[in-house]
Amino acid sequence: MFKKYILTAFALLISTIVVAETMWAIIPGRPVPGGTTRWAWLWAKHMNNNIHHGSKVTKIDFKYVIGNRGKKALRAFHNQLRHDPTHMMVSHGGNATSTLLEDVGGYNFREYTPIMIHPGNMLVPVNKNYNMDTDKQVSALNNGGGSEPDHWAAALLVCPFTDNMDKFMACWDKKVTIVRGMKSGRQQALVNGELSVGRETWQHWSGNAVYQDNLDKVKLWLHHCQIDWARDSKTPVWIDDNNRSLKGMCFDDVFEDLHGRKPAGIVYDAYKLTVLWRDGIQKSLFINKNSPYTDDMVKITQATWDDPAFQEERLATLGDYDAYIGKDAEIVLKQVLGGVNKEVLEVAVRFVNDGLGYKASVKEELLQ
Amino acid sequence: MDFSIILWAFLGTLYGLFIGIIPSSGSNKALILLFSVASYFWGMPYEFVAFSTAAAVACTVGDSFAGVYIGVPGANSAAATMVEGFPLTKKGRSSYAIALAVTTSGIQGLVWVLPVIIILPVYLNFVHLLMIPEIWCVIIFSFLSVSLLTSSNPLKGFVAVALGIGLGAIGSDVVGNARFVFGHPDYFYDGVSVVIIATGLFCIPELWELWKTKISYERQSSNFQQIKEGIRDAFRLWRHSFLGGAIGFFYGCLPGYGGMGSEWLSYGIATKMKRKFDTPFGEGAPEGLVAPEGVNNAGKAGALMPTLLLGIPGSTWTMIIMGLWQFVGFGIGESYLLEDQKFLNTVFGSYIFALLFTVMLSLCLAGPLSTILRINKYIFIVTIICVTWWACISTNFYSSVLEDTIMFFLFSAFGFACKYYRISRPAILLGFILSSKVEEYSYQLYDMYEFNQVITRPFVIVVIVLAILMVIFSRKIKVDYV
Repeated sequence: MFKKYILTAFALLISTIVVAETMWAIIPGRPVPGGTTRWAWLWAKHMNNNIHHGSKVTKIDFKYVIGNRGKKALRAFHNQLRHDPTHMMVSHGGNATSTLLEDVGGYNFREYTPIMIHPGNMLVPVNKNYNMDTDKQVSALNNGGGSEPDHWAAALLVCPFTDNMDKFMACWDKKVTIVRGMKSGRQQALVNGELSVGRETWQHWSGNAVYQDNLDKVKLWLHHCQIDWARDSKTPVWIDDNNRSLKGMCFDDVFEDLHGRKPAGIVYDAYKLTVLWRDGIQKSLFINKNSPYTDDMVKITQATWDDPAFQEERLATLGDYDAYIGKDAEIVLKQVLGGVNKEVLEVAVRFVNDGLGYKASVKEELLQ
Repeated sequence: MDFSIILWAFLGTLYGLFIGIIPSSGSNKALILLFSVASYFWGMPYEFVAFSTAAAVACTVGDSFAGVYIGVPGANSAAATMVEGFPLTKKGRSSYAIALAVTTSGIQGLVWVLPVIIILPVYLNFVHLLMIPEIWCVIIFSFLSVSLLTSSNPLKGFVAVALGIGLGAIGSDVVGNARFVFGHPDYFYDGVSVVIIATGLFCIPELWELWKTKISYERQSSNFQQIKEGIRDAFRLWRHSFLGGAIGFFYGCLPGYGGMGSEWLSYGIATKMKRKFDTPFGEGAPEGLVAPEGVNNAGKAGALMPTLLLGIPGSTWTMIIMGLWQFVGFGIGESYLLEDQKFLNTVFGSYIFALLFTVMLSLCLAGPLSTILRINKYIFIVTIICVTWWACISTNFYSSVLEDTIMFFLFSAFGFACKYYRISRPAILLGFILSSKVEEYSYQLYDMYEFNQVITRPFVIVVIVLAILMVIFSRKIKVDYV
């Protein structure tokens, strides 16, 4: 009898080892406390506390693929790692705009299932001495990918040609200077007045002493609005930011205050397309289609979202942005992918090539 | 400081002392080897900072052992120590020589780290005054100083800097477009890894030197009477010691230069100063031992200044340690880092801890520690080659083993060529480290400033005057520090 129990226990143990898996989340970068890594670490910490009984997933851990501004990770996931069902991709807003505008080795959101999408928003602070009428607008371009909407929004306020790209670009050349290669120090440069506009996340704006000690010199100018994803409409509906300190600074409202009309037209649509991709898929977790672990991962993610301990830490560190899990994430992804049309994409590509100066192209696979 | 930080500083001290005692090793090699384990510290970057800082400091103290006991300098910086230290050993006064050297190095290291600790928080209040033109000027000044002061032929120095900048340009331009990727964008897009360049330039060629060096070891034991005398004389010779510290600190502070050869300058001045002992120089004169020993750790403290303040390395070891710290996530030279009190406490806490602990250990266990010198050099060389190769492939997560290995051999050959043709290797590494920075700041300067706005700034004028003075002074340099 005793022997039987031992054998049963042993068989159970073996079957658990065979079925249960550690899930590997691929992070496109180094394991240092940057925005995406911090986000992933926070989620994973709480996900590991919310693994349900009977789950095939026993642990969530990380692999870091470094290089090519995250594009190496995208390529590695798309061409190789996704075929191992224990691998998931952590993707950020820069990856999303890279996928929209650049060659990323075939990486395509359509081919994966979103476990969760956690949209965000970016803010554009401005130096208080900047005079739109007389000064050139100076902003810093990090090396490609992810900052397109911020440059575009700030420029549209001084070049309000929302329906004519030729006029917009002519104005851009006259009134906007893009400073290339400013990887660091842009906060101080904005405070010093060397830059007139910047770009930040909510948590970096509110937690950065360079800004908070110099609120007499800098202020928030605008954010990009959020999308009301719950509506599941084909056309995104833009609403104000959830975070109380950002109320009333939505680009559309700031534009209307300045120019006395709502922004509209193809240039505005192209700007919004880059926002849709960058902030819509600001942080996300994807897995290959038909992975046997998808259901368990969705369940774990939902349990984590419902966990008050996670909510408390999330609100304090990531800001008040809702995450969309499972079927809801698929709706969000559908809206993001559905926002692409050829004419608008061409305008966005032109802006990147001619305005920001790095290589972009119209990708036919996004127009399907 | 947390217990874990102290623990890692302790381990770093032991590691650094061990490597430092081995002939022809030095802090550069000790730090390069750390790339092989850096990825294991990603979850604990402060511990890694403690470990690496302590290793660099302890290694510098350990350098004296080989010079004093067997007449082979631990690293270039200990060569001046050897001139007076080895004759003392031959006279049976090795414990005295070690005590004198180690105590001096420790005291001056402590004295000259104080200005750095005091200045850093003050600097934070003035950080807004240093704008793009000022930082660009300091970068160019660092190129000038390393070109002129490490090479007897300034042209060779400039060529070395240009080579480094060219190597640093491989990968992508300032907006992220691929550039000089030789048909392999996946491998080259992120540039050549700093560990490959540093290993090729500073590790493999030095191992060849060690291979050729004849080492004969005689058993040494601690003589506590001599150690007591050594400590006493280190205090008695405070003028020589302080002179060494001041020279080391000043040259250490010069961005890029790193004070190479300042030990000899200190030694040279010491020979002209009023003496306390009659022993002729070259035959074990304590003054001649104290003066260069005062330089080494004071120079390390000085080199931390431009590195931490501006992200412009003060010397070769800071170039390597910058790469290590950036690898675990610290953006060296960014102002937010100076607000990170834990980071600063870790750097200076582990520096002071390592200095005190190494000095105590060296004084108490000089004899037993000298047995490290008995390590078979061939085993050591092979081990180091294997570990540095491992460091090269592990920093890319073993994803490009073949490419990394080819680059490892290629840059080792390049390092040999530079040494043979006496092209300044520190200048190449500095050019490489600051390549992207100088490109970025040049673009920023061009995009945001007019020439007149730059040239009339007081800080810029001061830097130009210093540069002119350096050009005049550098004409006296007749030695290559390659």
